[in-house]
Amino acid sequence: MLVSGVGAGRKNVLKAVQPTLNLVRGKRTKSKGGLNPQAQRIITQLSVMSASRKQPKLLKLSREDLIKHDLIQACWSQYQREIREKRTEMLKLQYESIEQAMNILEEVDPELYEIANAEEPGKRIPLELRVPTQNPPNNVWYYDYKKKD
Amino acid sequence: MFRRGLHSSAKFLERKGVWSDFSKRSKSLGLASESVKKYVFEGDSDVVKRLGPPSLKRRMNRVKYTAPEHIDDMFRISYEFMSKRAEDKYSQLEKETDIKVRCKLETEAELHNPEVLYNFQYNDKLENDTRVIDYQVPVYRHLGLKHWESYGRMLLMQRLESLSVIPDTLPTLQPKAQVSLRFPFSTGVNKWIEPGEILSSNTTSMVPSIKIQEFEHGINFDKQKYTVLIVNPDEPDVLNDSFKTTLAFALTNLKIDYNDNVVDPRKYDESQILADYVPPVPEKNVGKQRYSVWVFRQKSDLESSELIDRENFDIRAFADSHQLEPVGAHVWRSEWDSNVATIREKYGLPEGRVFHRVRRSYV
Amino acid sequence: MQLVRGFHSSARASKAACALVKPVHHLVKIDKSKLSPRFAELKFSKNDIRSPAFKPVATHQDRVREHYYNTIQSDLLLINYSHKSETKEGLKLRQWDGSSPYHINREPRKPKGSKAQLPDIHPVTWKNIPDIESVVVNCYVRDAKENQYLPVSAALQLQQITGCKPKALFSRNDVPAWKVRRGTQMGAVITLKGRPMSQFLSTLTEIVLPRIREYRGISNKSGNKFGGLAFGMTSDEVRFFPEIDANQDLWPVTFGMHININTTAQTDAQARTLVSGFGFPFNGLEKIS
Repeated sequence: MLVSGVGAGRKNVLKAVQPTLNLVRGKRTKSKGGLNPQAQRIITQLSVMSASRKQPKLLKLSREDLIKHDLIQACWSQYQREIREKRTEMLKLQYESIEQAMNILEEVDPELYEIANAEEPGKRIPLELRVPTQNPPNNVWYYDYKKKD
Repeated sequence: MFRRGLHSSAKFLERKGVWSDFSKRSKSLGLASESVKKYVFEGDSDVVKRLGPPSLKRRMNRVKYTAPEHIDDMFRISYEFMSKRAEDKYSQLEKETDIKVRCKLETEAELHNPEVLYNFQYNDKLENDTRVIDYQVPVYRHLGLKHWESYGRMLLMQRLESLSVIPDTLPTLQPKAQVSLRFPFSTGVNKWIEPGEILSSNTTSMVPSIKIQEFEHGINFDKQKYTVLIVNPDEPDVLNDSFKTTLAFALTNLKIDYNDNVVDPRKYDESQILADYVPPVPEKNVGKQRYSVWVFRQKSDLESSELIDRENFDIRAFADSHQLEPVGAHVWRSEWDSNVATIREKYGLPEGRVFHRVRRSYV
Repeated sequence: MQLVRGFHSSARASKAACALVKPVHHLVKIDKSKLSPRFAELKFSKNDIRSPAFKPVATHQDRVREHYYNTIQSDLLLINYSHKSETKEGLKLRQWDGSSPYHINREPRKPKGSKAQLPDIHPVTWKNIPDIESVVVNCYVRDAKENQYLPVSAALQLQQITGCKPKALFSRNDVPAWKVRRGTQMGAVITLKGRPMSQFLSTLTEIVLPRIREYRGISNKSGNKFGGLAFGMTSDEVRFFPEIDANQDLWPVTFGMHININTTAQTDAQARTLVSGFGFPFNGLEKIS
């Protein structure tokens, strides 16, 4: 510290002459913004929903990288398109083979055909069929599962 | 996160496949600049990374720039995938004979080629350098058409409509060719004119050059010829208290092609000029006059034996009688300014009238 | 109507003073926003990375959708198959027989037994297999007429649960019996599609619904006749959503909500079969129409 006896002495003199300005911030006496806690809570909730929080930063790419990005994008949509086309093709084949099988069944056994073509009101896909997850449980499948009555 | 494992030996993209083979394909389908090519295809090598993207001009920006993570890995996979698809298109192309289908296949094969896209996006499309953008190549024509449709064509049609060029001159236009217009640099305006711009009489004092860019596939340019008319539908007709159309310029039997298509005085001779260029010299207080440029495709050669009435020109009758198909248009506007007298003197034209609010007798 | 442009100086004054829609003389479609020189970056399409509105979509695997494509779709094709079935025509407007001269230009009669026309029901082929189109979650807060803070909390609840931005709902009419005034904010609504929808469906079927005590399932009577199903959740059941369950202290009040599942199925029966494939239980007697 550089405060010597002389300096300290001068300070004391000044203190004696001038009234000092108190710059220390004291404790708030009022609540923030003068709002009741409920309104404050709503303001917080609104700010959570505000658009500015959802706006991602705009990517700035150089020309070359933009071209690369465009190719990747084109490739991805082409890939998706091919998958989609293949899927519709498979469904179409499935439909055609169902139709063919039913045609044959109608000729071969009209009784069975009636049963096969009967309406099934209230048909449900069983609840046991689950949406697959990446980490299946240790016991993957209950082989001797029996439905409870 | 899973990342696709890559062979360390395949560090850089070994450019195989159709997109790197220039034995049959046009040179313009490849990148001209070595540094850009290096950045695009060897983006993750340390040297290239340190240098940064060459399209950024300032060194500071190049140093600061960081490419998105793994973009080069993804690019490599995508490039292989898409060039395979292009290969299929080229193999289909070999069996095809129909020119339209061939052009379509060729376009589809090259449409996603990053080199083509780079060339087209970042080079001048109007004053094209054929080493980079060659409109002889179908994919560049396709891209050019899309680019024109995205702005230039809409702007032209909006101006033609709002300035009533259609239907005041011809009833309508189905735009097929991009028409651009510029005046010689010596007149002081060194740019391609935007449709509807008001130009000073000094600017328009010399013959404009007109660029006719065709995008349609399979045009036989050995036979196809073009006619250009510049008409002014705003010449006052005091006797009838109306306006009449005058012919400012007429060219015929013009030959162009996809790349060499700027019609300037070097491109035509005396026999192709139907009517010499008379620059816009509007008289005082007639208001703005629309100089509309019309470009036609011809059915056959046009004989220029008959006399044309320049003062009372009927553009519709002219187009009908010669079986001209309008494919493109342009328009600029002129009004009286202090320089008109000089231009009149230069071209040996009579001194213009001055109109007043209270009509005086001129006739 | 002036047919010829006059050159006389008063030509301008003789123009009609009414606004006319000018005819257009060409077939080129003009997008005015593209012609303006302002805001160049706003002219990019929304899926262009240069656009400020760009939002990445395919950021993660969508296992619900994959489950639909891998398993449910082909099953539904088989389940809904009916041999040699033909399009069942829905009720249509009836034309007048023309026996009276007043029948000319008269509005056609309403269909028998229905106020409006009903759509045709086509046999299910590989082209129109039922699929979930969207999920609409809406939250109407009855007490909002007294406390305007509540709909904000309701909107935030929807946002927390679904991860998408909700839209505020306002009452459309004055309803004196309920003390509702027009224009009061009464709640929030959110339409989910794509990945957020899959996320919401899997949370619902895997976490929330199994935790509800004595949960029976979606009522078999639910349905809007055109393949849309709906069910409700009470404010207590909403607490089982993990986003709310994790910080109970922040949610002193929760709000019940309605969940509408819109499908491309043509009947409710088809829609129920479809929705059961995503793990929703159903309850009650099947309504056979």
